[in-house]
Amino acid sequence: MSATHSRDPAVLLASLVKRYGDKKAVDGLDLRVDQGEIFGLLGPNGAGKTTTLEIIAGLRAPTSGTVRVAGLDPTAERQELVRVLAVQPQQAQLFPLLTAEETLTLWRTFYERPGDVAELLAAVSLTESARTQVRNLSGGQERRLLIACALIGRPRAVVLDEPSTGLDPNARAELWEVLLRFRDEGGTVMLSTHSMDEAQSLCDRVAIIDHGRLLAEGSPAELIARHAPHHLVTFSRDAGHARDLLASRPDVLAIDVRGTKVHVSTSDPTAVSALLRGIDPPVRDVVVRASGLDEVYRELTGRVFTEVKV
Amino acid sequence: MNWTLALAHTRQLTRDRRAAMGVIGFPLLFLVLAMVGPVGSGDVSRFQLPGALFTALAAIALYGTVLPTAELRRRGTLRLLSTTPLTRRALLFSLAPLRLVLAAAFIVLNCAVSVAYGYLEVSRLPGLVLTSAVGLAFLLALGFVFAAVLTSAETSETVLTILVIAIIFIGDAVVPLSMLPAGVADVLQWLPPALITGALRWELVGMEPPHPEWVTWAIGAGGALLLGALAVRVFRWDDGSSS
Repeated sequence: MSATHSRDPAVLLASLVKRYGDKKAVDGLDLRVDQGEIFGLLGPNGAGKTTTLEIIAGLRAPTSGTVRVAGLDPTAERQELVRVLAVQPQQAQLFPLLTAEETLTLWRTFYERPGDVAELLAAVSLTESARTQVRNLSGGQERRLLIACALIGRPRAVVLDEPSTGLDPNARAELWEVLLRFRDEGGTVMLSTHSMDEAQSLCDRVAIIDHGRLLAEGSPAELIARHAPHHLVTFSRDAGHARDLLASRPDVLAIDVRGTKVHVSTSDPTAVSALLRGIDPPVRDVVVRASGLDEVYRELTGRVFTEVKV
Repeated sequence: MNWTLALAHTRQLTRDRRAAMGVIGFPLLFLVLAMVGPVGSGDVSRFQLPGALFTALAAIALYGTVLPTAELRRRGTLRLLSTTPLTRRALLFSLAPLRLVLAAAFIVLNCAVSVAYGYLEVSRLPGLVLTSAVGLAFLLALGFVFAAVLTSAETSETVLTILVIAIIFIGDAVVPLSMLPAGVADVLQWLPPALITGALRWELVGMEPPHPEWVTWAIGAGGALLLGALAVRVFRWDDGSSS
């Protein structure tokens, strides 16, 4: 049995490979997640996020490579692992006929030093729903209850597979608060997401993966500075005449049409927006913002993240 | 024993009317059918009352265990539990207490009917309790084996229907073994289902058993231990899609 040391990285992956038949779901992944950070695995559906997280959680065995979680081998040292790592798999459901309070009361019996049920219910804003059966909770409430189940054993790290999928903005913000509080108390969070917004707003560091391979790793600000240091100007796609004017400008790096908007990557947002507002007829809804992880993904893959086929 | 988990299983079953009806209604139906016997023939009732108790134990142990566990596996709840320190042994054994209570209730009910018809002798009660306990342990262990591997409620219902009919048939519960070909009956009478029914028939209604009670207890308990160990060994947390 390996001892778990406080200086061990929370998660360490080296040359991780997972094959399903001929298909490589994870293709030589190297990652290090330090203790006390929120680390996001970012990528489109099918990128290998869930497989990677399930290997970290010991739910799947890797084909090859090394995996260590708090110094433990998730497959060989599973009994020790479940005491330090809590997991929220993507499609897990709780006992449908138990109430939220009964669920947490049950979950706390699995651990040696569990947290307090009432405190956790309050932390995930479920005090008023404590006596509601799980089947009658909303999607967001059930997701927060799952997070509470993950936290009640006072784990050192939690692995969450797309925790905010399907949540409305308020529920998502409440979920983020819970995770930030856990991080602030020294816990490590590793989550997968296909939301650029979530990765940028919540994660201390992110790894962008595609087809099971690591494309880039770092803090959102570092990745943006490194791969997409330009700005984005967006405007209504009705203004087709403006697109023709912009296409020949040397400070315009790319033009994408997505939905009802045209997105222009540029090194000189002031000049581009002035041009758009000055032409006749003037272009409506011109918005300037700094690039985000969407643009980083585009730079790295040549594809637009939101248009990746699932 | 994780009593909180046992309580959770109890709540899951008692709050699900359909599941509760399957576990309680089916055995009650057999008991009523057995009680109807005396109107036409006292011998029919005398033969069927122990069979009704055996059927009740089988329904409680099999329907009450396999279906809810398969449903939890299909929903991913077991997979979630596998990420906690809960062991497979603790999970399986936490299913037992509620089934014990239900079985005790049916034993009392069958005893009451037997007393009402003047079959039961108080001196045979300790043996009846022990045989029922061994029988329930064997049937629960058999249920645990199927609960350990079946992945959906639909598949489980099909498998269980066949299994329960087979158990009742080979268990001498409805059709007397003497009506079967001699070679088949000779083998079946040594298997736990027929041994248990035979012992219950002696203890509940005073019909002479084919073998001493201790043979039933030894073979039944041995079978329960073997099947229980097998269930823990083959238990799967998920539906087999993880590899």
